[in-house]
Amino acid sequence: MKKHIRYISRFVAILLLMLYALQYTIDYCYKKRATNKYAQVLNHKLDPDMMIFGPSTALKHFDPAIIKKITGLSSWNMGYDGMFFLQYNALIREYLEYEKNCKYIVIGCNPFLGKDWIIMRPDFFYAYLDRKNVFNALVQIEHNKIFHARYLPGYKLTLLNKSFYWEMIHASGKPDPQCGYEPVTDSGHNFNNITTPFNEECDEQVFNTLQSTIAAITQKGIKVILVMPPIYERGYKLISNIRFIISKYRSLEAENVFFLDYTKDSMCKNASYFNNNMHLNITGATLFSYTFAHDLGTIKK
Amino acid sequence: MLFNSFQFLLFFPIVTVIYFLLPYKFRWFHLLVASCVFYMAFVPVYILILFFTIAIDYIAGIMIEQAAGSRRKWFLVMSIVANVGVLAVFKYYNFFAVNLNQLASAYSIPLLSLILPIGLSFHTFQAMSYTIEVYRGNQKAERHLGIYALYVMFYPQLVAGPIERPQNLLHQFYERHDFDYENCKEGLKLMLWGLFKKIVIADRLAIIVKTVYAHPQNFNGVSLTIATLFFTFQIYCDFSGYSDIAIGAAKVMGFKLMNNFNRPYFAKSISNFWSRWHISLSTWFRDYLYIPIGGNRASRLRLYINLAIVFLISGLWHGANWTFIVWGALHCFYLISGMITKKARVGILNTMGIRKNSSLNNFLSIVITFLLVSFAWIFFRAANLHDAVFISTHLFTGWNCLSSLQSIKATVTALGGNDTILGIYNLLTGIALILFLEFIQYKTKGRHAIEIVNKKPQIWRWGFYYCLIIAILLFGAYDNQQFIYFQF
Repeated sequence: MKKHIRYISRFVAILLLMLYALQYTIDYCYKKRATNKYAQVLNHKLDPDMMIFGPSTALKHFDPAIIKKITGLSSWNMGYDGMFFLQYNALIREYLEYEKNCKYIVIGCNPFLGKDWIIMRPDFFYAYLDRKNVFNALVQIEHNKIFHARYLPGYKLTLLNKSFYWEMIHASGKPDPQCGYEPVTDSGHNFNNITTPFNEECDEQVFNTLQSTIAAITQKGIKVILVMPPIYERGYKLISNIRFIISKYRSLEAENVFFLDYTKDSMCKNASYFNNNMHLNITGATLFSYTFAHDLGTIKK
Repeated sequence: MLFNSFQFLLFFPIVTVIYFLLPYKFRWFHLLVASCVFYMAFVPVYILILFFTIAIDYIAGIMIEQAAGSRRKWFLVMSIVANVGVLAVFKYYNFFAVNLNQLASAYSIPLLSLILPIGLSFHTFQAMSYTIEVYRGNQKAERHLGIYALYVMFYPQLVAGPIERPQNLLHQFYERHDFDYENCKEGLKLMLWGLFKKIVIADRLAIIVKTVYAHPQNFNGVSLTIATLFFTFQIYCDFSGYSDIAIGAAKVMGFKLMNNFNRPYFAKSISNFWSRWHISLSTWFRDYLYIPIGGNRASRLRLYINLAIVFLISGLWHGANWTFIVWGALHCFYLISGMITKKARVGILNTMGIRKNSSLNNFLSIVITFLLVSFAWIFFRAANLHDAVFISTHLFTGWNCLSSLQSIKATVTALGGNDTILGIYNLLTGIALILFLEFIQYKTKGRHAIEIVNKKPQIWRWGFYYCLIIAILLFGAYDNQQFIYFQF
């Protein structure tokens, strides 16, 4: 019996070793090769004057080129469709670990202040689960998956998909001229047919996490700018608790923490600037980027 | 609970370790509870249906044994009616109601909103084989309700077989199974091979099959043919993979379940195919339906009718849909036309100078049988008869797309769901996996595939197992796909 146990233990030990080695090699190659904007933050390579984080309301609205033109500040847009605070908090926290030049962190706010229900594009983060900030943020969203991926040898290998390997093998290495900005180029309107007003979620735990992240940013002497981008007026009316959500964001205002609310801006009345209720099209986003850059100038002073 | 789930990865070792740690007299109870937990991971309330049929068949078994004369038959009929009744309500009611409503539009039979209990056909047939064997006097009625319940519910084969016979399984629950290293090792190897077949081969092939069969009208003959051939191997790896895991899991605990597959795609005729494919079901039909209605000891016409009955019911067993009935009818047609044309075929071979047992004849027989079986799978896989007819009539259209690189690229892109890279990857890995499977099966000649390395030095054996494990992790398709045969 002892002989068999020894035999099995040896087999399992070698297997675990191989799995760890394979996982480590794959992670290492990804970290070495990946050039997407998130990899640049997670590899501690990107350090502009201003970082813009947020979901699609950040991704589609802030044009770093215009911001640079007006304010002279270099910036990167770290937004991603459907990536809400709990997830992009991983990026903010990781960025704070290494930044040296940052003067401003912009958070593209969204009326949704609830818990993220799914991790968007987890393949961007899988190679970095050993980082405390990444793990702590993602484990709050999909606990079992992330916990197993971090601690169960071999489990992460079952999650890696085509996008992950593609990024690892085929990373272009060319700098992104848009600095992460992806405007809506579709000229059509995709306003949905919702007519019944609804409440957006506002989770106290998420709000408290946001508060503590803001505190961590300001502690490093970086200014935080919370921006609620324009919402098409019809969409604004549909969110019954929008005023409450805005007041929650406004309550975060303090020294070095600014809140810019564009939901009452005149462009909110003009459908031609919008692709849908929540997102400006490229024309609207360009105009908004100019407005924001000018307002940033006021804050700078 | 799925064999390819994380829960089972925890469930299996825990159940097995506790099984061997427990005193012998408590083991049946432990296995029964474990089987209930396993089953209740799907739709918990449906365990009541299992309890109902268990109670009926347990009582029926004892009554059949105690009764004499025609009363024995009555108890058997009672048991069969109860089992078939459950099947009829949960599996076939809506199918017949829909068809009757279409036939007689003046009437409207209400439909039931029921979910088909998982593996219903499997445990119902296993339960029926018990009462039939008791009736025939081949099996003593089981007096221990717990052991009988375990016979029906034994978790490795509860939801997708193999459909065991009481003579093979019941007595094993009374035997003392001490931990046996060889059994454990062989069982685990079998489970590993089964998992590889399911997660790596079947689920990877399924990606292209699913894409094409979801909208067959959007694809040309090349894609339809590729998807159909892929499905031929998908269903084999899916189901035989499940059987291997079931047999392996039972073996680790010292139980021996019957073999369910024997390299079916190396069959030289359709009747040979049915002696190699889903053996536990085909022998069930042979023993409890085909032979009792006369088998082949009857006139030619009667023989054909008997075959038609068996294959019609076999088709229906697989699912309440016309596609399954046509699939069964096709196999029946193959068998009968094979019988009718046998002399003519032998004559043609003689004229061509091909000997009956020559390699060429064997090769041609295997290829033709394989193509016939693959063609029939179209009806098994298609969502409805309309799609099945479309696919079967368009297999040979659009092959001119192979004449230019541009159209080959378009075909591959369509197979990848508008993603060329994914299309190439899935196509090439699919072909490579099929070739690997067939190579291993050819080499092992009917033994279990994993035995290919049994006599090799340790470094080779371990290397092979490590490669399988890493392949499962790296190349497996992980969207928690169910086993195809669960739906039956």
